[in-house]
Amino acid sequence: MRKKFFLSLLAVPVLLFSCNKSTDNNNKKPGTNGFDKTAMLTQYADNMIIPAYTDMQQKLTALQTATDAFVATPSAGTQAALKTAYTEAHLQYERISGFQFGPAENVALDVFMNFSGNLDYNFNTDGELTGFSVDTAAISNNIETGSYNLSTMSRSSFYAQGFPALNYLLFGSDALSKMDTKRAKYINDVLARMKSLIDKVAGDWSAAYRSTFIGNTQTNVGSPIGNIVNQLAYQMDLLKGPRIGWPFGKQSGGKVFATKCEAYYAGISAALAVENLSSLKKLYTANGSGKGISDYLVALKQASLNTDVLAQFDVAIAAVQAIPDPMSEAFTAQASKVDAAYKEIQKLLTLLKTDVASATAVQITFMDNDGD
Amino acid sequence: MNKQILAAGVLFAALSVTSCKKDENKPSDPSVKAYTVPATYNFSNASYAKSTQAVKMTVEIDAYLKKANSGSTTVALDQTVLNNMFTNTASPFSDAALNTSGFNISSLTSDAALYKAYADSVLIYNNGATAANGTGGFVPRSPNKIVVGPRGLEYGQAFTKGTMGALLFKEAVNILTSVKSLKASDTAAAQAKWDAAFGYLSVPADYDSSKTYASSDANRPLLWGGYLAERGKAIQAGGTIFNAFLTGRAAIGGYDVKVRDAQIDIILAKWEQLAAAAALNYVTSPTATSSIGNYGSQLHGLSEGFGFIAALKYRPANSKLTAANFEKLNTIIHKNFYDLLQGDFTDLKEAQSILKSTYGL
Repeated sequence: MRKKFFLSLLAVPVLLFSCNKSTDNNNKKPGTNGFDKTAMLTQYADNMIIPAYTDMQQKLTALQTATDAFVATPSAGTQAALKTAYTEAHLQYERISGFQFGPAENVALDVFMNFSGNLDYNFNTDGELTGFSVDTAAISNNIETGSYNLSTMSRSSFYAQGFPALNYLLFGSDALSKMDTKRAKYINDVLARMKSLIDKVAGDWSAAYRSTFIGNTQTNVGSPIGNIVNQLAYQMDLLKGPRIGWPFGKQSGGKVFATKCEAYYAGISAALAVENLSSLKKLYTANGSGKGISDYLVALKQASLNTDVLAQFDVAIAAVQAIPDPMSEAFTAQASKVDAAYKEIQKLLTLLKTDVASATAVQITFMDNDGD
Repeated sequence: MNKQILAAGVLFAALSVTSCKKDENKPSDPSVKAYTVPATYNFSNASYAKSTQAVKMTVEIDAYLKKANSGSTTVALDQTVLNNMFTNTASPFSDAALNTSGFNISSLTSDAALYKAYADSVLIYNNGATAANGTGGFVPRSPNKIVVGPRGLEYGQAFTKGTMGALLFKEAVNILTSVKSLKASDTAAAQAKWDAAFGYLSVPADYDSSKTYASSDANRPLLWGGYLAERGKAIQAGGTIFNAFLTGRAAIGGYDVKVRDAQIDIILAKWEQLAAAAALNYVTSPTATSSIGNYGSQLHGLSEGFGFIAALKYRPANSKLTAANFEKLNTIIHKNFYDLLQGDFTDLKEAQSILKSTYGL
């Protein structure tokens, strides 16, 4: 009898221990209500990021084909076909722009593919290369001399390659009249570099980086979750700044810089902005899979914040959709619509950069905001 | 059974040897008495005015040099004003107590001539020129500008962050190291030194590492104190260093030399790690996509990194950073910044890797 009693006493702590253990094994920490962060990251990697880079590779191959046809026979007809392929490729780039971490960050992908001028820069002088500028002088010089190094780290280099250079070379006013072998070679070199950068990033994801990404469920600086939250905020800052706000005149006392919007020569800035913002919503919700940052927030007992963010995404997307292309003309012709979109973007930015970052315990690192 | 007795015997012998040693070495030392560690640095006899004044002088010089950064056109600075701030002559400071303090920061700064030269260089390149590789002048940094030399170094940062190392950190290291050689009975001397070192950290007596101090708060942490939160959150620098200062100060009053010395090691190791964490941040951020192409943020970041790496020169003797690795860091950060920002950032990545592996960052 006594022995049995002792045994049963022993059994209690053992049972408790095993309960704890099973909780630990499932990586369900208190406060996240059993939310599976590994499953979330797996969802991002396998169902969003890696397929999106594969699509990007395909869109660039199609763009290459259309470009070859245009260069061989420059005409309004081949240019129109090219415009479709270009638009497809640039829209696809908006779908991967929020994945600027890991392999993409290692090659500074966004800088060479679609330089936005970044955030910490004066945007109030006409001649300066800021925002989504194109360095036409550098491009002309590169074409003329045939001598250039596209991996040079300078603004002039960034503004002479990637989508900024392509949209100018393919759809600028002299795109047809100035076509010659030198120009054709430069266009091909720019495209080849874009493809090689994307191939490299896609390859790195499929190889080692996928497991690195999935295997790190921390939220500290440089962690996958930290990177995703930072990108949500950073891309919103780019929308508020170079994509819409700055060319609209928000940093220049209302003075509009119409040519400094994204893909000015292709005239698809608004469509790109809509795609960018819609893709950010997909990044936030992991494409509505139930395994995204948004669901993580709910697990962190931040359901009402999540509801606010989702609602503001929809309001902001609708507001940007209301801006007609070309956005360069809408800045003056439809100023109230642009202004309305700007305000909704700003609200969403605050929610993501402040509230979501704080709720997920992620430090926003992309701005040196120490003021010294 | 036998083994257990043997083990217990050895343990007992070891214990008695230790206690014998202690008695032999410090026969006159009073034995440890009970003491409590307070939550704030409001010790009744605490005094660290001079350290605080050294911090405030540095802050005022920094603010004077930063006037040049305002707007996009030249804001002229006066060499005489700057000289007077360094020698503390002709009442150069807006805080009157600094003017009558009877000392100047040069007297306390290691390599003082070098740090003065950095400050002077701000005036030299405050020239209205557009900076480029090989040409000193202005670089736009939203919403204003910075002043850099021909190799991209922002001399104002080299002065301020460098002085945080060559004066404030260095003094704290020397002072706290010297406390270790004081006897338990030397409480007054140890407390005075301890307070002086605490003053160089520059946090309020009721410092709260979880609080965000407004820049308008007169009691806010300055320089290193500010960096506890700015770059030290991830390594819990604020709580760790402040608590160690409180514990060590209380331990001195309790004649508890062992605890006192342990706090010295904690403070210095964490403070050095904080400098390394700041350096790591500033040799990393210029390589991020979000700052590539913006020389304003890139050169500013590298210049802050320059100052924090310089601080490591004054690290304590038991530092984890080897002389060879410090030399590597020092060589890298002294290269032309425009060159460091080209290619695959090989040099900066090497610096990152040294800092990460040495300091567990």
